[in-house]
Amino acid sequence: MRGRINLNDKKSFNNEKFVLAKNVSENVYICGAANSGKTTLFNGLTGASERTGNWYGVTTDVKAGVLRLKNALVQIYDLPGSYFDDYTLEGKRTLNKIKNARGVIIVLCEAANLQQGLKLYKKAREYSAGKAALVINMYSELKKRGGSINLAELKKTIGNGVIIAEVNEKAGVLAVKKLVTELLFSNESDKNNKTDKLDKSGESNEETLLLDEGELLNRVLKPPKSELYGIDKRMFASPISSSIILIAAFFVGAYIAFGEFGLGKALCFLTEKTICYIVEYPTRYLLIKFGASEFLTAFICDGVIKSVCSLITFLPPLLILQIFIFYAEQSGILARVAFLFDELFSRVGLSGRVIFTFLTGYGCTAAAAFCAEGLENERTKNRAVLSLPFIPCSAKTPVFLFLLSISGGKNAFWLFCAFYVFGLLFSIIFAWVNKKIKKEKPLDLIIEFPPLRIPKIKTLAKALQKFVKSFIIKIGTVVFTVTMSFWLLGTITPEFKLAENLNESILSFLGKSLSFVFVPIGITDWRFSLAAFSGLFAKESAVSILIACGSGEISFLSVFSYLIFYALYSPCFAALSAIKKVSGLKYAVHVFIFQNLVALFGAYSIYFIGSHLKICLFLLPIAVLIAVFAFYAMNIKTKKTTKIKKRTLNLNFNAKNKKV
Amino acid sequence: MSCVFYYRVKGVIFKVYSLGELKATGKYKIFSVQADGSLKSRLNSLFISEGKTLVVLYAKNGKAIISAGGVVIGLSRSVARRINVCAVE
Repeated sequence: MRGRINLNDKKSFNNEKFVLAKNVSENVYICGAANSGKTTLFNGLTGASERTGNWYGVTTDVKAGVLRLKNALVQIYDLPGSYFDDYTLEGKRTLNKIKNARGVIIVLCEAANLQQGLKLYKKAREYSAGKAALVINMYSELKKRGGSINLAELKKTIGNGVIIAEVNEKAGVLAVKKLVTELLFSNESDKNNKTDKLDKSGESNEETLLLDEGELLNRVLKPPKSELYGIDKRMFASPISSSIILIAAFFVGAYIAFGEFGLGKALCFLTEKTICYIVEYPTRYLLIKFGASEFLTAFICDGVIKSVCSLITFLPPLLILQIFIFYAEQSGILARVAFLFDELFSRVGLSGRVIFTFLTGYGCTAAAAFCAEGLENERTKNRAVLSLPFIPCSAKTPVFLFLLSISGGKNAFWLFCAFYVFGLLFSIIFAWVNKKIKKEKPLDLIIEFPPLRIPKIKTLAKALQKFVKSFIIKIGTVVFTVTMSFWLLGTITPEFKLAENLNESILSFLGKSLSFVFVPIGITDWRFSLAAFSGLFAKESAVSILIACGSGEISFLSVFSYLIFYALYSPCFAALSAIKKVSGLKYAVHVFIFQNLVALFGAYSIYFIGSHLKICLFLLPIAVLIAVFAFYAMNIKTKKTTKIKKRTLNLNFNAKNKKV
Repeated sequence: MSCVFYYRVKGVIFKVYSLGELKATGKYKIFSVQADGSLKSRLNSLFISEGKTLVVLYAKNGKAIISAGGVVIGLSRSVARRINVCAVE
């Protein structure tokens, strides 16, 4: 039997999600340093498909799953990567779990990083009263780099609880299962194992626990050549050209996915035609042939197929984008990018590590909020969380593509890219303003560089399968419910009679009460305000609402201003809930109110500038002058305050000295 | 490369540099880590502590990329300048 339970916070440890845990007989805890392959092993053991990546902080919370071993249910815990410290959130979570461990602790370590693995293994044995195993992963990589491990010698010293296994392969997972079975159930194997030297009270084996990793390492490990790869050296030696290459790579990827002659657009067209000819037309034909009512035909064909299924046409470009994000995550290049841009981000009160959060934010804001938990401290985490809603998530992509394809013309692709680039720029500017308000020292960045790897096609296929599954589930649940509710409301009048046309319906009544929001940007059509409202449940639903209800003609400037609003306004409820979990209710409410105000201001300003271009061009130099003056005034004020503070400190110090 | 201070070990005088000021790559011995609290613990867990040897793989503008305990680690300027080292023959 295989199963999975997610634990995002402390509360989950006691809630009903843990009912399964009462029926299990044993526990297994997978822990180790970051990027050692813990989640890969967890997925292999439990059949789960948790997110994996080649960068620090992929797993920030404890995950649990169930595995059947010898007719007994064993609960498997995937702990965040840490060094069993209590100064990082991940470290605290791991330590909290393994200090009260009742079962086997598996310490996973990268073969090249055996020294650290031994150190953690030593601690794990203390916590688990000897029931610990050391699994050495990625041995083939060590061999390629010219290193090796003498396993027999290692076993002589620390016992049989150590194996070499490639956990991303079936054989490796089986080897770990066998080892866990032996440690949990077999008494015979204990006789050979040095762990039997531990007495029942849990007293540790002095000889083993006092082992010196350095001395042992000299005996068992032939170290690899630890040097930077050629690409790294070039990257760090010329940061400007590296940044240009990275930005160019972003545009190439974006063009392939969303460009006019890109692969994504071609696949988009093919999917649209496939749905049209294979699903919509035959269904309509069959419904009419079998005498289905007009209402039912309209509900299935116009409501379900045309609006909800039309979102599937946006899947191919999103998949292409996912492939690029996947390669960036798995190759190990992200840690380098984080180090490269640390200087820039530390100036705005963030750290280079925020790259991981922002990149995840391009996929899903909720997932990115959880990813922010891996950041250095509380203040940076909250600042990153507040900056996140400026990054357009992939759910907004269909809306951009849909509206820009209608009114964007030839510039649609560049306008689309502008939303992504300006999203990142706005988040950086916001963090900078936030830092200016709350003064603080630059952050200390210590980042581990995982070896550069070419991701496996099998892993890519699994990741894409997971993405498609979650996309279809979202469309089939949230988007479907929202669209269908709106569609049904569009067929009933406020007197609960069948509406003859949309303008008589409850939906129109609701829409008209919200339409005042977009009047300043030249949109009087109530369907746009409803579409924006539906985006609070799921961002994609705006497209299905606009298709289901239809939309009138509006000018390019109005569409553009509307998209500015859509790009900036509050994230969906799922993301707000994630923000609440990570930073608290105060921050979630702050994000909701602040983002909506910013979005309105942005949209109104763009529309005003666009419609009064001549006056704005005339006023622009004056605005720039005022901004420059304000900036200098702020700096002078800050310098003066620092001087006064220093003087006060000196005076206090002198006064103290006099007293002494 | 500016020398920070000198360190005498059994009559031999070593030139001690802060890692943040190094421009040359090579093997170095750590003499002191001028960090406290969580930063020191974090560095210790990465085998960056007094008496240990580290390899500077790359250093530029005060930032450094080192190899310690088999792991390649990037250190920002504020961290790198707090680690004092001397060259190991």
